[in-house]
Amino acid sequence: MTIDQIDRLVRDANPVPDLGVLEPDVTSDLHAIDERSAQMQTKEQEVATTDERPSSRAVLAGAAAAALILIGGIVVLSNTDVTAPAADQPSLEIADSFLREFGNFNIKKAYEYLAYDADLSHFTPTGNRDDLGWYAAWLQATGYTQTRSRCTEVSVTAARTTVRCPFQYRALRSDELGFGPYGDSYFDLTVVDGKITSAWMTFGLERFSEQVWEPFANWVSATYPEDAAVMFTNSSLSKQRITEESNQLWEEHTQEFVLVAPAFDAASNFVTAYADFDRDNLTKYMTTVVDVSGLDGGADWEMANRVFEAQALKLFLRTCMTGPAGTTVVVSCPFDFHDLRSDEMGLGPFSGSPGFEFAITGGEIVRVGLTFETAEFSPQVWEPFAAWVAANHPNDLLSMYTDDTVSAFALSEESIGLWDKYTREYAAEQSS
Amino acid sequence: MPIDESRLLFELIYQRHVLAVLAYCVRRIGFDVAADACSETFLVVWRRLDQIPTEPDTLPYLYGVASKVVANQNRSTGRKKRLERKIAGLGIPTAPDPAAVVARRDRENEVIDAVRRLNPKDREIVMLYAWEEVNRETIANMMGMSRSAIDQRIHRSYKRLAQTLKNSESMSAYQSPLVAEEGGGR
Repeated sequence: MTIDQIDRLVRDANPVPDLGVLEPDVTSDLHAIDERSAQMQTKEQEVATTDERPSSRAVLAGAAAAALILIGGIVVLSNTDVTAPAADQPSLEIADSFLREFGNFNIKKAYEYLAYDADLSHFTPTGNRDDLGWYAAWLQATGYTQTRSRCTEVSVTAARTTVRCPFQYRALRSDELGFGPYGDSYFDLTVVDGKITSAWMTFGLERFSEQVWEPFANWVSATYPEDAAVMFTNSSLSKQRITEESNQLWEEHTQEFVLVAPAFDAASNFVTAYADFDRDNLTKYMTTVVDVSGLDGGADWEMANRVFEAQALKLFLRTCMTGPAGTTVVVSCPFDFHDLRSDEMGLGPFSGSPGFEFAITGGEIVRVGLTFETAEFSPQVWEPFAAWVAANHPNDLLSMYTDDTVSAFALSEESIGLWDKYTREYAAEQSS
Repeated sequence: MPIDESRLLFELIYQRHVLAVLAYCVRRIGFDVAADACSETFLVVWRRLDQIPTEPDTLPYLYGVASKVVANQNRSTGRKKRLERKIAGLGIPTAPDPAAVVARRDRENEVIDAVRRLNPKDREIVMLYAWEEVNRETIANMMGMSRSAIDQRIHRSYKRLAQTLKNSESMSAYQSPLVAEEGGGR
């Protein structure tokens, strides 16, 4: 093997030939580095305060403290651990004043506490200092409130003080929806020479996302798709757009969502139970239904749901859409579907079904209907299957269908058994 | 340096070189711990911002810092592994896994293993040269050696690698009929 060949082999074996595969988390790295660096400086300052001789002992102690932090990760310094310089008290006051003005949406006053080049990259959604006003307007428009706990200094150096202020919040009218407040949230503010040079806002999002943000975002995206494009910056609906037009839509739609949410929840829960053949749960919703004529089986909806289960109906539910808020709210829940084991035969899913339509009053379903789009499903699956049953099991045809037009399935225990048996047989035959 | 300027300079260095430093760490200690080592490297940079050389010498300097961080990490990992082996009563060193990146062809794994078996200084020189693609003159400056010493070490290391790989080829040639005999037979 020549040296050139070896050189090629070694280069080809590079475990990371392309830096593009690496994805460092730049923002969190910078924050962590900044925070840890501040902590180390604090620790060193403590050592210097307790032993003022610039001796090797102090240096060693500082190095040991630094090593301890390096090995042990983040060390949170409590308020009492810090030997406070004279500037400490003003830093807490500055942080407190800034957050008070921000929480009251007095942004002009809040700006007075910020350095002209303050880092708000983790405070406003855009990261832009100049957007603080728009962000506060958005928060106000969507019913944001915050309750702060006492701020504490987490690090103090000669140059700066970092203050942490925990808080609880309500947002997107979560209180009106019956959720929250949400904790695990805090502000980290760095104060240098009497001005805030960096402000971080960390929300505890887990429960809030699940209970409020995601349902609202899905609802607005299904009901007002054009508005959603203005209100969110991305298709995953995870980040709000902060503009005058967007803020106005957020205000309108969060208010509307509060009004339609009970109907939206009832409809969403019903369709999930129907798709899961969870008839015990469905029964609870059906107790208030006055008009079931639009649902397969009508009053015998439970039997119809069992036939669907025997046919291996699979519903791929889309987010429900609500009509205008009012005493009665109309909710539509479209879906795509597989039926008669069409998936096992490599057919479908069949899209475009209007799906369920509900009339809901005071959060209770009073009318429900169900509509499938069968333009493609019928010629590809329903009709060939009916023809196959007629040819292979002619004596069972009228046990499975209501009549010889084979347009609707029969509701009986016998029908359930036959649909289960013959759809399996048919799918196996078609797939082989 | 005023604090805001320091911060700006640091972020500039970080943004420009974080990928290269992270890759350097991954190549030596694997994905699992590379992010921590990379973070430690930049922590040192932040603390010694006044000592960081200007471009184009910044990255070689960062590699130098990262090499010390990685060495520290290896020492602590080594202590932990030795203790684990003692507890498990195995006494057999586990083969290092520098790649742990993607499924790699056997040949590439053999080459990586062979590179890792070089002595530490030669290994670092070969990795810097072939994987980080640092030129020989710069490596000489980084390692405090002459250019000709670097040339000699690379040449000598490559010859060793050729021999190691040749031996592993003959081992494979010996093993394959044995495997066939055990698996087949009829």
